[in-house]
Amino acid sequence: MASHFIEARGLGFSYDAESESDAVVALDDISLTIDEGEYIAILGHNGSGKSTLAKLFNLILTPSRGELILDGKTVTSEGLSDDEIYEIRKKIGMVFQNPDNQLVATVVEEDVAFGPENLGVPREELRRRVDEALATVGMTEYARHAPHKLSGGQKQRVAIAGVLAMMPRCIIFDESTAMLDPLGRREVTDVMERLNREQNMTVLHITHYMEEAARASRIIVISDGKILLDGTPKEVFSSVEPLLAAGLETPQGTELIHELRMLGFDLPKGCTTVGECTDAIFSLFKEKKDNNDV
Amino acid sequence: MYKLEVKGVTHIYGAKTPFEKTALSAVNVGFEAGQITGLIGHTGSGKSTLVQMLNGLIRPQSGEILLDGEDIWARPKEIGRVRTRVGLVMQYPEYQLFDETVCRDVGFALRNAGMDEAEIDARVREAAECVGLEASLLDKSPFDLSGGQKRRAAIAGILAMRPEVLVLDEPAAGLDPRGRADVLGYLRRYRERFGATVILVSHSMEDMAQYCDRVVVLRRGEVFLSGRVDEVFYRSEELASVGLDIPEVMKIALALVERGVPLSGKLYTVDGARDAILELLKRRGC
Amino acid sequence: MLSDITLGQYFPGSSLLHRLDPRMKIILSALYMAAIFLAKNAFCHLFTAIATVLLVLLSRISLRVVLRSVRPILYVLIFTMLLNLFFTSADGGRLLLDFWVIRIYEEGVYRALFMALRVVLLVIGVSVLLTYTTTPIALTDAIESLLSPLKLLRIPVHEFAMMMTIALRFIPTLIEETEKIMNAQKARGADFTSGSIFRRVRALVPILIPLFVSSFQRAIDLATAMECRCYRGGKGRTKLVRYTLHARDFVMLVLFALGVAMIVFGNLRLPIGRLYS
Repeated sequence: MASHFIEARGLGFSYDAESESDAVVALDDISLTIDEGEYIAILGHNGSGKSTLAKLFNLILTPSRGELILDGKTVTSEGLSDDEIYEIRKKIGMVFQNPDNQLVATVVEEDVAFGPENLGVPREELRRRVDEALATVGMTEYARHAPHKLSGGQKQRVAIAGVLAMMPRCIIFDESTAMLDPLGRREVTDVMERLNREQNMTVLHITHYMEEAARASRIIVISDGKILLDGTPKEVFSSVEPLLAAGLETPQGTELIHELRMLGFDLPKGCTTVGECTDAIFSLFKEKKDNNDV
Repeated sequence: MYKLEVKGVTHIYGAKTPFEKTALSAVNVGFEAGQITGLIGHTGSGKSTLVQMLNGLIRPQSGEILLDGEDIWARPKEIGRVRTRVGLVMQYPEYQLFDETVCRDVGFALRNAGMDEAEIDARVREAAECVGLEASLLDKSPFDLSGGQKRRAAIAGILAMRPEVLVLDEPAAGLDPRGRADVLGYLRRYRERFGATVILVSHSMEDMAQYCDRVVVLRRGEVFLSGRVDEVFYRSEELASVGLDIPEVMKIALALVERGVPLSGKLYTVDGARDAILELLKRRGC
Repeated sequence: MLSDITLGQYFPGSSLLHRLDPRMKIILSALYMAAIFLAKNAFCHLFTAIATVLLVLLSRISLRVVLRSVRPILYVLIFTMLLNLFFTSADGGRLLLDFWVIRIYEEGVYRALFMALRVVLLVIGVSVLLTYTTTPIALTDAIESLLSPLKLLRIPVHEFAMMMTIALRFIPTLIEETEKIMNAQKARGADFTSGSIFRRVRALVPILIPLFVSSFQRAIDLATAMECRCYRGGKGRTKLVRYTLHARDFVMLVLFALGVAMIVFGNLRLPIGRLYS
């Protein structure tokens, strides 16, 4: 039996789970599998439960129901021991939302070293890992800078380097682009894409930006604590109505074609890129022309 | 005459030190009464300095800010009055919430202005309604609200002053698509109800296309482009040169135009493009 | 613009003092302080003064900047001088001035002068040795390293150093945040600059509460982020930066030790200008 890197079986999580009456169900009956080397976007509106899912994968939260298998290690509502959690976190790193609240040191390279220092990596190896990680995210020239003077996108790249230096196999980006400007968002998503392509890193990107999710190879849409859609960007974005109902959006071209279809025009489903949409709409005018000629 | 006008404003941080940085140089911008003007520009374009000048939080080193034709710094002691007439909603405004109840927090500015409690109460209710906050939330602690509700409560705190000019620095930052549409929709309604002049700072060209009448593009402390939305959006090459992308639907529409489909109208929004396509099909079909 | 606290009063440079190991600089500062306080006669005071001037020259920091470090303690200085001047008792040698209730003795003048000299030298010397030539973060590391033997007594040296580091990291962030919140409240008509003291203190509430709320959020976020990066306290940690002692560090140590020896010797053997017992 081929084993998956991450597997959830009937996974559920409730806040305030101690008292039955106040319990707020954040996630309910989630079953999914994630393989090593996948680039997955987890899309959902605020409060959909998408961040809760990320926090479960990193064991910041313990499941309330069901089971979670992380690289062969089964986690249930019993939780794991501190040592076991430590082992999982070496493999699955996490980059958070607020770039200011995750950098520890006053010098960039010392911050990048923080994770591997905790792992007790010897000094020569530390140096090598820090330099490599900074090079990977393109921040080498800022190695001796103070983090608070960097832009949001640069801070997030330092945070990514800090995770990379721990040499994980998977990185979870928990809305790491939400507080950035478009430039910063592009910087960070570029790094994600490169890590996945060049180092076969498993990337989970939690976001509510549709155009960022479109860059992943698979999109999982979470709504009200349940999996609403799971498929390639093309498959997911052509499900216009469920997406809109979940408070999300589709690419504008897909939306335009959807609206024209609703008005009775015969257009294909599943157009997402500018080129595809242009071709599809152009065919409407060509047909008319042909009709006129007849 | 413009409602609010920036005239020849230059501002340099740390002048004559090694850290000298020109935030704005000889900027001239006019904001027309009753219109929504979008202000767009990258980090470092001088945008946030300009925004804080509009309500007198920063005093320009040279040049003037005119409100109804009068220099707001003519009487520096009365700058407080200017701040109630030009309301500024800062980025992530939910960080400013502090009072015991939402109701008291929204009324903070009014209490500072010395208004009597009965009137404050009426204004607070009106402001809460403007941003779609249910009355039942008003007696809660602001820290018990959800993220989106906090944002709206903070905006209500400014709307309660009933500002003639409303300046918002990325009011929808970090919100999901529905949250964005809600907040921007409420602002549009506030404009319609009170005839306010609105200045909206945003990074999203889609939001600009959807909600603004005019657009000002700042670059490195200077006005790079300014005009009606359609004027500015049709200059896509210049926009691209400063890293701004026209909305996707407009790209599709322009590609169609290039292939000989003579679309025209508000091609920069989905609804506009749809209507243009329908219009043309109808004409051809007849 | 905000002053940059992570650099403290640090002046970037590459002088000998800049390049010394921060741990050695702390030890040297201790020796320097000992020398200043041991000095008992004119010879010794002159010696410490010359040594301090040499230190300033070594640091290559301009004299104007160095003298600026004295400015904050100017009033304390004048106050202690006056105290010494007026309250040196009757057995203090020759009476210089006797006017109404004021009696100034010869020894009072000497005491005032040398007390002032001591304080000024102390401030200048420590500024040049430590704060002007060492970043706060290097200082924190050095303190952790010097205090590490105390770990055997179960004193949480690592935790203390970690707290210092985090404080240094977040002070600029918090200052920025304070400015932002102040502006936001000003935009709502808050006034921080007029009214009675009571009113002004009350006007701080709308700043302090949001600041506390967001600081707690930051603390929670940071703690989670640190745990996710496998932080489990100081045990088993390695460190990227390690300070190594060079020949120059030992040369300075020997020179400073000789200086202290000189003072002890001077006090005993050269009673010239002995000022007070």
